[in-house]
Amino acid sequence: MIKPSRHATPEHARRGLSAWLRQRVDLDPLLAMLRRKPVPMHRHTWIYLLGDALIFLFALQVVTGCLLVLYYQPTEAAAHQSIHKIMTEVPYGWLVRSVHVWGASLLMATAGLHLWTVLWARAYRRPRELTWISGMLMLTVVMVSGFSGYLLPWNELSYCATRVGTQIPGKLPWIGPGLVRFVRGGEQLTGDTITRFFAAHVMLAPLTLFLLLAMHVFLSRVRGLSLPFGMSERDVRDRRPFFSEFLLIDVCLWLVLFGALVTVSVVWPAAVGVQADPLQPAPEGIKPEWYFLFLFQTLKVVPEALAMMLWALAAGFLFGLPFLDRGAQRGRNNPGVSVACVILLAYVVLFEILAIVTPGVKRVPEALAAETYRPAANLVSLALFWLVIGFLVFYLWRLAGENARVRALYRDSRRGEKGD
Amino acid sequence: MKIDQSYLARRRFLCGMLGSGAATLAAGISLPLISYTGNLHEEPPPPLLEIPADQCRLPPGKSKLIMYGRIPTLLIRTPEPNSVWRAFAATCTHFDCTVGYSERENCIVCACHGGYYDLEDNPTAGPPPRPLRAFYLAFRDGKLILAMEKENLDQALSPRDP
Repeated sequence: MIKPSRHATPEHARRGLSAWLRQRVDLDPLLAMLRRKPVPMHRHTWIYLLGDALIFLFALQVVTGCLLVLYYQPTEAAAHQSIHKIMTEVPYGWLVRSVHVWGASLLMATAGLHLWTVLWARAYRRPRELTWISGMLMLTVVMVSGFSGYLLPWNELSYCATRVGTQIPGKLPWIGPGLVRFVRGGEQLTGDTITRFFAAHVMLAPLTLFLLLAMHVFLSRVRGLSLPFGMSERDVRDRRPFFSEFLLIDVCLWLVLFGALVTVSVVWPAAVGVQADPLQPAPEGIKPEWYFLFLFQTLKVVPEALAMMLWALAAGFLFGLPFLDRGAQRGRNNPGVSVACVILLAYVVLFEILAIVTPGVKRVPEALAAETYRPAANLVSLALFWLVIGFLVFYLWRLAGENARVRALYRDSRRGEKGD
Repeated sequence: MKIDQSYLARRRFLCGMLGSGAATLAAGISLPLISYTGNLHEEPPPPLLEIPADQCRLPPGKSKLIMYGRIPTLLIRTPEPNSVWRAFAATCTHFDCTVGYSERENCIVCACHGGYYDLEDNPTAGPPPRPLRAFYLAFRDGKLILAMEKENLDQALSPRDP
């Protein structure tokens, strides 16, 4: 007679593996921490999804960035050529790079929305000051990452925008000129600048962001998620455990975001542009990426010294907000803070609009010669892709509901037992 | 508390559907990515390489490394008497190190693991399992012509159409 194996079924194998792992790395405290801070369910619960969406988008940038460095060459002679090769010769290179480029924009937009919802909810209130500061630091690093990545294709737009951008700190008294030389790796924008920006973009910024993210997530887990300003426990319908329930809703949003990014990338692939030429004047109507437009427009209408002073004030206000708005933790609304925040938002929106309506550089349509860029076939693939995403979102949603139902049954049963 | 069996069955069904959906999505993403990361096709080596006279002046008993497309190639002029020209792909058949010509020992040496080849490209000592890849060569109008295939060389040397 054949003796049945202890690991005859997948369930046995899973339990065996789980026990083996637990003996070596005990993940129970981590899982318990994830479960211990449940997510409050109320009419504004969607704001809690934004932070997790940012983690997903960051991870997506890391993955697509790792794929791009397989072909990108960070030298003055080869940078533009290698981007051109990725977009036209490497199979699906156009897709990988476009997801990376659009992903950066989506990351920035989501970070802006996250910042605004946290401001609105006054989530920086005591004892979450450190969470707020780590978040602000992350926003700064994300902007540095976006700025450094913009130069890497070494086209005329990125070249001129980086010249302007790196000259801004040069206006600072005493340290300005030295700072510009440090950032550029010399007086001029050259291959040395590409090397520096490449190092900042692929090593320094992601590593710093990862460490800050770990700190941010740890703090938000330790302190828990705050209720929006003016909301009390009475407004909370339920508290869902993060792990196994809220995470499933997070994944739904991640899938939709991923689908949206792939769709935009297929319909509007990222441009390669004309190779940077230091002997050519800046093209008329040149503009930076949309998330720097308000800063760029400010320099057009405000003297640079004043602009830098105002930016420093705004940054100081935002970083120090938890300490300026002391009344918020006692439930007191501070009209001064609210007005300042609205003025800041109005400034950003107004200057963005002003910059957007200004005519920009006429872009020459670029034909992607890549064998894998076939619009008709790609649209069919997109339709299938959305079908799979829709399927997954449907079942993830159902599973989250199912988990909540079983939890409610379990809770009611415990109450019943206590009642007996 | 005892949970009704139907909940477990339903949960298993949901997890099964999710697993199959996730596997489909993973396959859909992996295929383009495999194609992207595996884009390793290089330009094929040229059928012929013509080396101008001023670049192929070698005294007997000397060697030179040149590039045949992307293949490092060892060009040797064997010592007198009976000095002849030889050309080999300069990558060791053991672990791909670049080999060199030893004038003192009059043989081809791979310094990585101590491999030796004679000038007929046969391995004579050390770990190399196979001979080096030999090139076909000939002189025409003072130029040295190298080819990986004999037909290409013969074609190049055949009288041209008027």
